[in-house]
Amino acid sequence: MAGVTKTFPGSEGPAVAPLDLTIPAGELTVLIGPSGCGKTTTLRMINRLVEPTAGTITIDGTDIRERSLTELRRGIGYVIQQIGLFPHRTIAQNIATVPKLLGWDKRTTAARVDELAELVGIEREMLRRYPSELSGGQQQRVGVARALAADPPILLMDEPFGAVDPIVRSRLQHELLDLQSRMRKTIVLVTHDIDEAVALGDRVAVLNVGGVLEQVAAPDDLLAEPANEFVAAFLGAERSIKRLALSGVMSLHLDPGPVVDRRASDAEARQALERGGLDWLAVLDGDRFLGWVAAADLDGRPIADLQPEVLRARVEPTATLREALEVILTSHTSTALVVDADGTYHGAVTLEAIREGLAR
Amino acid sequence: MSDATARRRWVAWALVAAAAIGALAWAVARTRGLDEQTQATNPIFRWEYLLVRERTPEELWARTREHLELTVVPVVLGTVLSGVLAALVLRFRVLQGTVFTLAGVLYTIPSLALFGILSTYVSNWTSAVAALTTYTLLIITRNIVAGIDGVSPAALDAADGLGMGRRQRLLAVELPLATPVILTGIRVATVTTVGLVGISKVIQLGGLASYVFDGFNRDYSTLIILGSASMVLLAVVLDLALRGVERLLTPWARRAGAR
Repeated sequence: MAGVTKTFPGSEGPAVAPLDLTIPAGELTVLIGPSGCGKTTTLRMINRLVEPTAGTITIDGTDIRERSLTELRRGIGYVIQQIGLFPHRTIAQNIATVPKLLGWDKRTTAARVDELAELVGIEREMLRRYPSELSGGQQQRVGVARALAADPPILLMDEPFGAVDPIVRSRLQHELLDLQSRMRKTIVLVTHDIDEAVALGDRVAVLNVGGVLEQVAAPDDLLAEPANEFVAAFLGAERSIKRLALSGVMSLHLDPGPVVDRRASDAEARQALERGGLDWLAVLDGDRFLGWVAAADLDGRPIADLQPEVLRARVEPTATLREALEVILTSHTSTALVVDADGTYHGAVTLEAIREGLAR
Repeated sequence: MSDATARRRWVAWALVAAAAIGALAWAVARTRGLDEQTQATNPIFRWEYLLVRERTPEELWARTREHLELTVVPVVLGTVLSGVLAALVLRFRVLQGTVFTLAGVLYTIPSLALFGILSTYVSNWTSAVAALTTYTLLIITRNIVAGIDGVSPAALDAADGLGMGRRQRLLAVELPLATPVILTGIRVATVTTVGLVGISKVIQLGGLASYVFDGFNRDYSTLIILGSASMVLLAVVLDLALRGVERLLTPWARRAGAR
């Protein structure tokens, strides 16, 4: 988008100030901002439901005005908060809307409908029902399937999960991320929910009232270094807490941890205890994690003679910092160990390590 | 369905029912005055008029056909004309006030006057059809416009966003979704017209209402009841038929309602 602006007739200032924004292909870009910031207007200018007052929008180098309105829109998936399923058409017919407009034959269309139902998790028997017979979450899945029907490279989503309850919303968000990891579409998603923006976006564009672009950045950069007061205020007071959900424990410099090999002697174990500075030791067999022993249990016998206990303060390598923090806070030891499902030991996460990880 | 259309439908039904009850009451009052002897030979309704009299079936059928014709032709014409008017209103919104006011004014012209004026220029049948068509315009035009205005903005936004053209959107989304409201309008117009046909007796038509008028003239209650009852029956049958059409055309509404 280059110098794109929109002024609605009868309003004083522009709804969208001259806006320059590049949306990278294959990524999910979130437009976020308070109401009146023109995020929906900006989105709707991409498929020309709103015509810009000035400026040009190009897709792959081609001005969108060079294509016919209907041809352009059929090549761009469109999902809205109110879903907008056609109540008089069955689920299958709804999903087949764009293929039908494009004149696909019946066989291809039916096969595609089945494929999409599977993709978004709609049972086949629902295909013959009408939208009013489905729950809100199911309807929004159909809305997404309908938008994807002709396999458009671009998907516009206007507050797609705004109308469903929090539990369904979080499930749909995960499903979208899962879909996106397979499809790699260019998605532009509008929301007013900063948590949603941070959870879904590869990049987040923060708009201010009047369509002023304040910052575009990856979620973690946005939270770590807001460009100005407005962005910081909009992100809220818990920026660091939000960031915790964005990085995994493996992104930290993991501490070796209070470890001792199972073949170690009592003296070696006491040295390790001192190094670790805790009142317990993790027992390893090579890189395999066996369990833990308390300092009080060291009675002169070699470690191999002690019975290691099951550790609760452990997280998987795929855990986020937020999950690790949760474990640290609820354990007695201010340390969580990173251990694979198959028992491979990776290291220890401490509060200090998390703090350093956020400071970067 | 909107409250206004529901109310109009009730008014139409009330008129038909009132006509039937009035005729019956008149017949009962007539009979009271006669002594028992006469009453035995002169009952309120002579079944033999309907069952034995040879000419009755043919005559009844002819009048029913006339009545049906004078109902269906104006309603069909009225629907087509209303479609044109509604299209104008939907395309050029500034016309809405004018079109509705005009249809409203036409609706208020007394039918007797309209029959009188028209029949001096064209044939009786044509003037009856023209007058009756006029009365359907207000109801049907308003329901078409209301039906299309009532289509959810979300469905329209989706239709546009998915790349439907203007025409495709009208045919594939707006008209189907407006169908229940439009058909309600047509049904109200139909039932109203069944009642109004009677007045065309003044220009030698009248359909089934001819029985009622003959009955009054000849003090013959059998004819009054025969005419009223058949008119009510005709109105009910047409109403049910149109409800059937609506059910066939809008399967989605039925299933949603059944939940």
